[in-house]
Amino acid sequence: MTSTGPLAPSPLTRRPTAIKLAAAAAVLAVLALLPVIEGTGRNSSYLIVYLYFVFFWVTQSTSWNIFSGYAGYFSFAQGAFYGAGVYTTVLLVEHLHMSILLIIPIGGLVAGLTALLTGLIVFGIRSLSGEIFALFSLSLGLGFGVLANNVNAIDGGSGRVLGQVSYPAWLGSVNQMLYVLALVLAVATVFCARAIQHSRMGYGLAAIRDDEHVGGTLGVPTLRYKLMAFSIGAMFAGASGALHAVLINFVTPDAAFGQQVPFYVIVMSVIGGRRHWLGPVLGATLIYTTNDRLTNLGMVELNQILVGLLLTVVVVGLRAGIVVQLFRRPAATAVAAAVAVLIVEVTGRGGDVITTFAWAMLSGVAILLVPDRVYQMTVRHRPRWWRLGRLTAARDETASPPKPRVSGGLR
Amino acid sequence: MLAARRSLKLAGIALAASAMVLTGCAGGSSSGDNSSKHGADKSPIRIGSTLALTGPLAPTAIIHKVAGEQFVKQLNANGGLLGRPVEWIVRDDESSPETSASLYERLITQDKVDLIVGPYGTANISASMQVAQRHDMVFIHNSGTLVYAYTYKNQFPLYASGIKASQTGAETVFDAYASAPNPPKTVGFVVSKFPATNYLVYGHDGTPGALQVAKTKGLNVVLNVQYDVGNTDWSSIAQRVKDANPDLLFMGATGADGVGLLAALQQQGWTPRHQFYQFPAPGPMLGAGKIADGATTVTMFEPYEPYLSNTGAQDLVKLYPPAAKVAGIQYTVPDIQAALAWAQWQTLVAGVEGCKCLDQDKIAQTLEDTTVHTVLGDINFDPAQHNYYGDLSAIKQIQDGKWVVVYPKDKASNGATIR
Amino acid sequence: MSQMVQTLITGTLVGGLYAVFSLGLTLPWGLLRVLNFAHFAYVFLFAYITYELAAVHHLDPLVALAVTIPFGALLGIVTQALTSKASLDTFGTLIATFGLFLILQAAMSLYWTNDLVRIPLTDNPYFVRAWHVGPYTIPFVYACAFASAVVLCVGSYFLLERSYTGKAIRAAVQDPQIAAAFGVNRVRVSYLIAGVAGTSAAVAGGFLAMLFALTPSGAQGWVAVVFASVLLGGLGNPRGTLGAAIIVGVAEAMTQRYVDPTLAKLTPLALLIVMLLVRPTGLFRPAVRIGQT
Repeated sequence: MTSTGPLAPSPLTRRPTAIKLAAAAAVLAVLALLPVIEGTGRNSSYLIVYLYFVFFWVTQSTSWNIFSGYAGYFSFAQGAFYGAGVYTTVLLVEHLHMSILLIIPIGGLVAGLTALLTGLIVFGIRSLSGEIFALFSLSLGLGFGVLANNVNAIDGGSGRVLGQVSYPAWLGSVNQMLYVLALVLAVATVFCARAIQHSRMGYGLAAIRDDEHVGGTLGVPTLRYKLMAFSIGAMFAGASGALHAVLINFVTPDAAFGQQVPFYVIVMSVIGGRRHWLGPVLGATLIYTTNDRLTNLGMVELNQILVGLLLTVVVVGLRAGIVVQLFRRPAATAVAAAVAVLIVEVTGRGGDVITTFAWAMLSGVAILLVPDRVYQMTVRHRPRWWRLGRLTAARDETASPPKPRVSGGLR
Repeated sequence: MLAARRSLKLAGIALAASAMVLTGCAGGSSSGDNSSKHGADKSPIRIGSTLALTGPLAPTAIIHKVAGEQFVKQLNANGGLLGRPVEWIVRDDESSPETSASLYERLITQDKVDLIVGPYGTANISASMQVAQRHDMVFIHNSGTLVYAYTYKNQFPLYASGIKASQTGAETVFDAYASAPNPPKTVGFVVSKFPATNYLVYGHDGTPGALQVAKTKGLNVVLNVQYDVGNTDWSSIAQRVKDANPDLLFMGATGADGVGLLAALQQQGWTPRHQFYQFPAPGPMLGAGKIADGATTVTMFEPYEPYLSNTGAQDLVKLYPPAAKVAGIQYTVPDIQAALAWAQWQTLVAGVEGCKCLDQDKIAQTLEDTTVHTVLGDINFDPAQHNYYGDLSAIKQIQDGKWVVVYPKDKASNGATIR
Repeated sequence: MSQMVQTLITGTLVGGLYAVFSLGLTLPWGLLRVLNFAHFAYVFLFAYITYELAAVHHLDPLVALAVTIPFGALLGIVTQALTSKASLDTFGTLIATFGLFLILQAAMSLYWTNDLVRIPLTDNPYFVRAWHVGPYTIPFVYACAFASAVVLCVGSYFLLERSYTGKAIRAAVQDPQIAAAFGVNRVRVSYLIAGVAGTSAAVAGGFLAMLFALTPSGAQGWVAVVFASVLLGGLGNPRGTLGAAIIVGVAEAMTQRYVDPTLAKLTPLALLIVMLLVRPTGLFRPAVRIGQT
């Protein structure tokens, strides 16, 4: 199944083309320079704060996906690793006043080691099924929360004030520092996810996802790959959590080990698509941006309803997630987004960049949700310069046979 | 062209959909800064804050909302602030410190408010104060008690607990009970993990809390049990209280915790002889029935002398009760919570009017240098003590179905004493 | 000594409540391979409805059960209809119903807000009612919950093991095609199970409303306890679930009494973790042995 799908290792996807590299570099350059442009202190822009959160969720979702998406073992333990990172910061700042640059890797290490130990215990169980592992991970996350709530050395339940965290002055204001470090973490995580996906280990994880017993029989080192993926994912989760503690600044066991992070990373990755590294990125950006805009309007509950709806719809309808569908209809999605941006700007409804961006994404998603039959009917006659779309459609595992073209019409 | 038209049709579908949603969300976005009318001095001064409008802290936060609204209304009726109308933007932080902090971030960076005031609740205050610090904004707060953590230069506390809050607060309570006709000899602690109540009972870093103070005062501690914020199951705790049988039940409670525990105790058939609650919502306690008779708590304002002579007290006592009734609050007497809110706003106004400006540093300087007259009394923020200025706590008790101040003697209503 | 016995009594009765709650999760999971995460939201939904009926319309909470139970059964059946139409594997149902859970939780928050609501004592006199047998207190509501747990769990057991319908159900789970060849109407049988699950949601919700203050995010707090009971008891095994729930309840009560109330939350988790490591199939036999999930 994976040998002919859009995610198959083929010359086109294994090495990024020059165009893709340039595009990625351009995006990164803009993002990197943003904090300088946007100002500091009281004049600092909300855009930096918003983007920090996008990077945070991208990191969390991608790190979760490295194990749970690639290997297919749904883990509810993201909260445990993220929270471990958070409390690492709390304890290190309180007792040793360390700089955040040192704390982040330590937080990652703590989380990674926790995952490694847990994995060694759990993956050894002979009859470990997906559900059992899911429940085990759920208990792990909840258990850490209760521990933090009761052990006074960690927290004791009343919360910890983080105070001022030291960091090198050249990073700018606190918001700028958070932004830059989060960007670095996000890029690192996504880069790592991509590297794993296209590596031998990635194929091994895919084999585990498809059928672990068969894979094991064929020589895939299942235990090693699972441990590695689990630990690497946890490591990024912990590092990201360690940084996030600075933002939360008043840390409670609820904030660190609550259900928000573990549940949302699952939602973001499932909606985005679990088989490709781009999936969690898209899912995280989409969900968080919608969340942000709706919070602005005070519609917190509506946001949760939309997320739940999207999740159910995607799981039932778009089983592989948005990213797969996106590869099948890239041009249409891009056009829809562009049109949305145009409309929003022209009618002056945008207000700011984030809102416009949100509309663009939602329009793109709307296109992706259009059922295949309707889509084929309306874009049956595609002009020449949209050949890219045809190419992906041809490689599509569920593509219908080519429809007859109207003769004499423009191609 | 046919193909292009088809694709345009598709784009058109997307267009129509977006247009529909857009009209649906009309008038919702608050990201515009409509106060930037250059040169117009009559544009409103925007003051932002969050309050726990929903969640476990809501029963008390609503008092702050009503009091704040009445204050702003009166302020605008009297010409506003610096001659400009005041607009108060308050968001719901759902009793969550994380939400509170992120909403303040939004208020400051996105909505670009001119001034901020603190939220309700120690946890939320502690979290948002950091945001204020990051953006160098003056932070006047009404109920923060983690005195040891509030080292930000421009924070101004109104909960007058003094810099050694956990010690002085506890001493007040136990001294009050020492003067009772049947002083307690044993004490049982039931403490919420809420940061304020936790700190006040267990102290921090050398400053003793109620637990230590009780022992120093010669009381025997027979029970020490903690519970999570938002706890709803009181039966097992009630059982332990009944078994320990303390003379004084000291409950580090917030909101409706006390009511819950009393109901469970009633089910068990045990009545406390003396009972103290740290931060109860006053109305629900009165509604808890006969078993709540004799319950005490801390107060810093009641609508009697000597408080009535304080600046603004008459306004508070006149404006708050009818507004509270309209808002559906059962207990419309303006007590400590309403007064804290009122004092918070008074302080803000004093700072702004004092320097005749909206500059954060100048406002802070004004507050440090001048005496601020509030309903709690005259306040001199002392920078040497992190802007704390002494412990103004008094004890009030439910007697014959009403809250009455009983200690210290100079604050007691009509010479009432503790029972 | 009498403290210990009292704790045992309280723990056992609380276990009854856990059992009623867990039944609605274990039956579809074990017998229909549907992991209905939305069950948590269903219970809270019925709890809120009971609150609404009791506090706002002053209907007796126990009488309100008569109203909610049929709706519970209906909700269960509708859920089953939708999930079977979507034809997902067990995991897929978990995620899909998780989405449903998020939707319902938000809807409850919209209507009833995040404030803690509790049926006032005047509308809920059962709350303080208790029987006093010697030095021991037996709270009325918990006793009712325990009684319904016994009725539901033992009743389901008899349905599954002793009746023809039950055999049909188990056959349909083990091998749907052959069972169909033998004339088992899989759809109707699945609706029956789902109906029972929905009923348990309504009953659990009713008792929840009578005992606790409600808030939409409270649903999360039950996840550990319920999953512990479900897994300890063996998937789809109603008697096992009852036994496991009692064990969890007693363990929790003991921890609350003799160690620390806040650590009590750790007990079901610890049990769950130990169970998963040592005997993933549960202390009791699962209803149906299925090879690979």
